[in-house]
Amino acid sequence: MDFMSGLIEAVDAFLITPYRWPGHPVIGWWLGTTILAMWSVLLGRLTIALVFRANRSYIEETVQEVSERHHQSMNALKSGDQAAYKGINRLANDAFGKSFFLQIAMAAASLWPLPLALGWLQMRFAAVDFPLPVSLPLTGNTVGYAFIFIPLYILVRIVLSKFKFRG
Amino acid sequence: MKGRFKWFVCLMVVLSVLATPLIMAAPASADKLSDAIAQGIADGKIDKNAEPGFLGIPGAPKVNFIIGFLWAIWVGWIFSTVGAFGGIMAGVGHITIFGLGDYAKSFGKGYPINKLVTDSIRVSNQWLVGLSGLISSFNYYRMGRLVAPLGICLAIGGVGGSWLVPDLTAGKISLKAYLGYFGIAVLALGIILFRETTKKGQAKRKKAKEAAAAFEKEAKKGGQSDQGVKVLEGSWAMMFIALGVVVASALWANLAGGAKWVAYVLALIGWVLTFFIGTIRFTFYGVEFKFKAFIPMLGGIFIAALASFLGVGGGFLYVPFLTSVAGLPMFLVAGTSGLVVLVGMIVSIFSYMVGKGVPIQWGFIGAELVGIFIGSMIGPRTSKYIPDIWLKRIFVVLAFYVGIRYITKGFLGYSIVPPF
Repeated sequence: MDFMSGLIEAVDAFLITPYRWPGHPVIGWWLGTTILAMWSVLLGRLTIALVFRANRSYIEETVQEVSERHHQSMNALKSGDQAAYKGINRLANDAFGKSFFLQIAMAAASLWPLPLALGWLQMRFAAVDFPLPVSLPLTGNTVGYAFIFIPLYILVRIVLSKFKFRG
Repeated sequence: MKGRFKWFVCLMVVLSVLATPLIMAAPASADKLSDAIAQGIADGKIDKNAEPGFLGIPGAPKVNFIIGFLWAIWVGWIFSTVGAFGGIMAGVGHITIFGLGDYAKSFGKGYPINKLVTDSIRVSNQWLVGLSGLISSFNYYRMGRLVAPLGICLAIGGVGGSWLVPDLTAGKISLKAYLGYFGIAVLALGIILFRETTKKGQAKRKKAKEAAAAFEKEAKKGGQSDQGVKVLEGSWAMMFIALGVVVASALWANLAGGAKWVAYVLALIGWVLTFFIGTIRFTFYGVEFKFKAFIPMLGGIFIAALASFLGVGGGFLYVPFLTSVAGLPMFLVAGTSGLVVLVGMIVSIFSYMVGKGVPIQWGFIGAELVGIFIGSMIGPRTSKYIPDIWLKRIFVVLAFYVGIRYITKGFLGYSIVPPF
């Protein structure tokens, strides 16, 4: 079996438990899914904190270079030296490119639980249709698991971002 | 103004994100796939008793998570050392390393499974980069480094280009053609990188570094300089209307059952309105910059179309476009292009998912994200030992190899470089 499928099934028992606590399927769904979103956000935050710590000096170096090149190019621009400005601006762009893509790669550290959570939800709830209280003009009156989970994940992430965890 | 823009951006992002999963929930995607599988079985091309592989298709290559994971580490390593080439590498991974390309091709051109797998590859590519782009974009707008009018004009072009291209091409591009076009893009990148490694390119760089050192200490002329972005001229109303119209066109194209012509008309109206925005002038560090609104719009269309066709982010194209064509300082380009990439990505993925119901393998993406951030931790440690110029040279060779291989495989049917 694929490594990832095995991993997903291994945590399946753990994740489904909160769904069964209330004894009522709909309340259980909301409770379980919110808790799932929380786990996804927290795992992501933990991971990215580790990655930041591991890369701290490299990040500082890259960011500093970007800042230096920026100031140098602005100085050149203000003094009217177009040629120098263009050349230094290119260096600034190279430095920025490095920094930008480094950040993108590290961003993956905060997001990796999301697709796994969606994969698990698909495994458990793909066949379930959730009725909406109103019928939306273009989608009808039922939605699937992803429609609920992704906004919920974003909401939980925003709420939890208000709390700073020490360490 | 900043406050207003901030809310607008938030609203657009939230709307786009809300709409995306809405469509993923639709049963249309499952039906399309099972129809294609059924046809394959009926035609004898799929053995229905074979073990299910990619997308659950019987007999498809089982996407090997270990290889996917290792490849993603390589991508993360590239992202954190060289930068731009990472997205291309992700694409190469999906196509070649995981054997998805050959499998889809084995069905022959025009076969439904072929197209479905091709589109799925493109979407998987985009999810990878798009999800990560979400984080960086928020950081940039929080830092106040967005030139709002510039971002809006780029997005007007970008959002339109992002949905139109998948709309016109999803389901119509065979893997062979996709390979060929991808190869052209990779080769072009290789040529650009190569120019930087030549003696001339290196001399230019050295000169720039010397100039930079000279301007390190230079006092700011012109007295107290205003360091922020100050927009002097440009019609905000027209900008928001044009952007709103183009976003509406994207939403209509993806959500409305019929009357696609409405979406086409809306996109066109949005683009035409851009010509009425006029010239946008702003100052930064006391220096004035200006550009005609339609220039970034046209650039946005072209770049987003290219990016959504190939499935890799246009981020690395926006920055050189804005700095070379528009002559803007890096500081401003950085945040602006991040935002545009984000909006383009969201709409583009949205278009694939909604318009043509292309499925995604979640577990695989999860494994890749893990690999990427691990790679991003290895990169900083190895960068001390590998000088920049040698990194660039390695990638030039890689780019030429991959580019030539894909172009010839795609358009000639066989590769002129080994393995043949």
